[in-house]
Amino acid sequence: MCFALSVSAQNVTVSGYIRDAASGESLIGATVYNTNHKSGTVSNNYGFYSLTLPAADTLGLVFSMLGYEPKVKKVATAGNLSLTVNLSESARQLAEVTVSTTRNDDNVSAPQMGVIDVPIKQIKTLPAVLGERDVLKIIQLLPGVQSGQEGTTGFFVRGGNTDQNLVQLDEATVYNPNHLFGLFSTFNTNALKNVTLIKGGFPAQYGGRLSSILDITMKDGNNRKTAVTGGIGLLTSNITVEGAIKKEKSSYIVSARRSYADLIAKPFLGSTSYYFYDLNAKFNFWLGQRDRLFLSGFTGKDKAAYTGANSLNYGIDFGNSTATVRWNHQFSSKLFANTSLIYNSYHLSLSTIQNKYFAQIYSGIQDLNAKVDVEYYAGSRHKLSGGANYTDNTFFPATSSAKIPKSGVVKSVKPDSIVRQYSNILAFYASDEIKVSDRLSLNAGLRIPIFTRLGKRYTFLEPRLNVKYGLDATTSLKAAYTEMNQFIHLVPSSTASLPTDIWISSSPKVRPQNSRQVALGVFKNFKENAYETSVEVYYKTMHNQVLFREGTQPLLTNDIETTLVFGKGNSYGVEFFVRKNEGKLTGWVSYTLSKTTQQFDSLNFGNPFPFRYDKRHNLSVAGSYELNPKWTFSATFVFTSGGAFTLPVGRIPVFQDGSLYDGIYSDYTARNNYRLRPYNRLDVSAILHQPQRHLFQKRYDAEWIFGIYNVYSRRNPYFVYLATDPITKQPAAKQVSLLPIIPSVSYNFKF
Amino acid sequence: MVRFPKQFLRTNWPTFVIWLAVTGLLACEKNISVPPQPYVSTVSIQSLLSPGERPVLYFDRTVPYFDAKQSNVHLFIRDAQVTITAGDVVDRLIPDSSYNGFRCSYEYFYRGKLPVKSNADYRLNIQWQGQNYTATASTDLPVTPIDSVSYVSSFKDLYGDHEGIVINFKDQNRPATYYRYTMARSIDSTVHDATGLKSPCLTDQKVRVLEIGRTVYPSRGNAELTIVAEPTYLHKKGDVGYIRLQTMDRHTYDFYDQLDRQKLAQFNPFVEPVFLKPTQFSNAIGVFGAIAVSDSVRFMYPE
Repeated sequence: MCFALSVSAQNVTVSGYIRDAASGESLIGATVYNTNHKSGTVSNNYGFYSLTLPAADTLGLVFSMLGYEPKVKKVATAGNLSLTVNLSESARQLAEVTVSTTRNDDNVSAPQMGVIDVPIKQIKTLPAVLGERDVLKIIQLLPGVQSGQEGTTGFFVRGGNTDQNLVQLDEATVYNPNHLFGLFSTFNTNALKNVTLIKGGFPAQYGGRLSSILDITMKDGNNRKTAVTGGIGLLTSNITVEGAIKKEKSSYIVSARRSYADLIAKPFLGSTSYYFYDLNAKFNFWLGQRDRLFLSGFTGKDKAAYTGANSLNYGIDFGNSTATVRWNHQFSSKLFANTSLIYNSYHLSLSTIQNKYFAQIYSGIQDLNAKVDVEYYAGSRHKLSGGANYTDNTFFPATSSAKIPKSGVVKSVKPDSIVRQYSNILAFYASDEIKVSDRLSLNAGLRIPIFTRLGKRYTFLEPRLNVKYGLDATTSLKAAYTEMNQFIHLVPSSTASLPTDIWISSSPKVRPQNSRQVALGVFKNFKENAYETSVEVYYKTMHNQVLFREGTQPLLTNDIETTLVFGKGNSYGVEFFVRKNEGKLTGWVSYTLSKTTQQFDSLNFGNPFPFRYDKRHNLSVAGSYELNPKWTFSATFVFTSGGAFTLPVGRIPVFQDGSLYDGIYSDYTARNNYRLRPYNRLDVSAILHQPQRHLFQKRYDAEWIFGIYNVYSRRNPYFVYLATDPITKQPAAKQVSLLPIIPSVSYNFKF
Repeated sequence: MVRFPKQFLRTNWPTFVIWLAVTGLLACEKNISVPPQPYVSTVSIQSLLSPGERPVLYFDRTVPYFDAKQSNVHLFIRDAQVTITAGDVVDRLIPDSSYNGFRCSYEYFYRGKLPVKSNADYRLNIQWQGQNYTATASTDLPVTPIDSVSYVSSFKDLYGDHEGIVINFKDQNRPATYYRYTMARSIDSTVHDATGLKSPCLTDQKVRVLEIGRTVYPSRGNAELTIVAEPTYLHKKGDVGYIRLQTMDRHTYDFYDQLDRQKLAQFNPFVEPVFLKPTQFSNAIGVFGAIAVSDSVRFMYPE
């Protein structure tokens, strides 16, 4: 803890950093609460906080954070005070998700709504697929968030397509946050510090997507001692090494994960092959009391081939890479700035064969991004934020499909030969978090993005407003209004089963996507915040939505933009959330009732139709039970209504002897007129903790994780397609499913 | 179902678990029953007037998608009142049939008594179960002669890599003119169509079939045109066909182009589905159009 004094007239500002006592990691979202004036703040993404209070002889400050022992400080305030606080993990080793009984009621007290922080430690107690703990799997259990069908990647927030989610790792965009079929996310949980999902009421600092922001922060690395954590599972293993480069001054963390089914299970796989890996690295340096430099990078890749069922043959290769340089500078106790330079790239190369036809997709994106964010803690009633962001985008999409040639050889798409689409976005933003009174607070902001491509410029004003009215100390009403614009589009294929979607940029012909969202919510905590509850309703309109024109056949010679049609969508729903944070049993229940429709003048006879991932009911239950210090049991259950898909309802005979194909045609009466069977799945796991074991006189903690994915082996639908008997001409619907029951065991260790 | 002995499980449980995990990554496919949705049956109408030929009209009912009835014999509507009128001349069409030697079944249609005249305006009227289906067509299309026919063993287009009949002709200098090829030939049991389907009844004795190209090509405006059509049936070296070129009107093009695009989407799973929309009839799917058929050109497969 360090003290530094400076003089202020009537108020006093307390500022500093909040850190983990054991590792020196800065803590994001830790609460600082002043007992004198019953006001507080939370630490920012770099662990920095600043709290301005009326001067008093002695200030009582409580520092707290989920899973940490709160720390109470009584400090004399002769002037401004710099105070860095270290919090220790909760004394009960296994009570990882226990919340202290001090105030930790951001969900009620903060003006922002639609924001959910997912503690990494909570992720570590819930069931995992094949032993892999997974951020995105947990995200999909939250209200308003839906997974696609089993086997699809990404997630869907409040009726938005997957491209409408901005997934950021240390501020770098990750375009595809999943490994193949969405079984695992690309994020190695051991390397992560914080995960925040924003699904409405977006702060002005965020833009470029309509539906959600998933902000993921990597750990900085232990700056006090070297630590090694790892895990050995059936299909993957991972290891994370972190430590001090110079104690208390600089640190590093390197984390790697690879699957090895391609190596050890080769005899079982036949013509199937698959591997993925991901690698995270981060270095951070304190360049004095006021400056800090971060270097971080990530790369992940999937490569798979499968030849099996007639409906599913593919070769796929995709990956993300990011690199971020960030510089924090604290100008004063009230002014904090971060400057970032970011590079990210994404590519997807897919070849797939189905029913004697092939499709090839190549989708590449490269971004260069420079941004400055400034936070000014003006006083006890204002927190101002502002910044600028410049992004240079390069897209190179290509797609092709035709009958397999007689030679059987399909030439692959060469990325270098694809025409590049260049665009750039300049954005400015400003916002103010205002405490109008003890009951009323709001966050008002404005973002101005300017998009340019091929001489066409789009400029928008995006107002953002969050209002909170506290009914009492544990209850609040909130409202939010946001406008968002999005300059990239993932054009979804309505028929293909594999991720044949393709990313393109806005252009003079393709207008940016736009959304307006209104949300209202009631937030109530019980029993000293041991129970959090909320009910939120939202209504969202989306314009300039993009789909392929009817009959579009992907061809390399086609300009993709000429194959598109444009429409609108709207989504509304109500989300219920109950979370228990304390006790042996922790977890949550979320239920979402929602409806999402789209309308395109040139599709479905101009009539509205359900969004492909419109799922009326979405229930998730996640629970973890600490039986004793050795054993923890957990389970998750999900139930969702089936997604929509299109089948013809009638058959039209067209007999005119001798046409190339037979004379029966399909009579489609509506798009997305059928529903897949409802999806439900139960996963369970048991964790056997083995703390303080010894190996070569070195102490380490270990745990065995036993898990079962899809306990009752329900064959959930992946997709449905039609086949016709060539002799009888009788059509039949065929459902393809992916994952039956999968047991797993993994061993984790921590030195 | 693979059964593992207990001893194997005791000693090789890691392998067993890996096997289970790997099987989990493999797809499972099964037939499912799809609940039928309410479907209001409508009718399908096709009639292309060709000068010198008696008018033929196909008139069938549409059925729910999973309905077992799917052949022409089940779907043909026999009790309609069908008339085609040109000026004061009314031709009342009556049910008729012909035998399709490849499909081994009769195909049913309505046929008129009076040959179609050139440069005349025709009006179709169908009355069936209280519904009227009316449309007009004009037989003022010029015949487009074929200049030459050849063969290419491999040709790439929208439909992929296929063999092709190459037809060269001089385009009409006339707006809204379209072209389609036909080939009359004889086939035997050794022949299957381009989708791989073999006739269930053909023997060594040859039967005559008429291939109609699925693609309708628009005019380019007084140009030398070449179209490469994919034949319906496979062939042997020396097989002979008689090629004709149909010159068509706009209604015919709109209808068959829609069919072609839907068929492409049905076969290629990566093509967006195409909804068939009424074009010429407000209450039916179909076409009442006119074609002008060229003289035939004899063609022998060179390989």
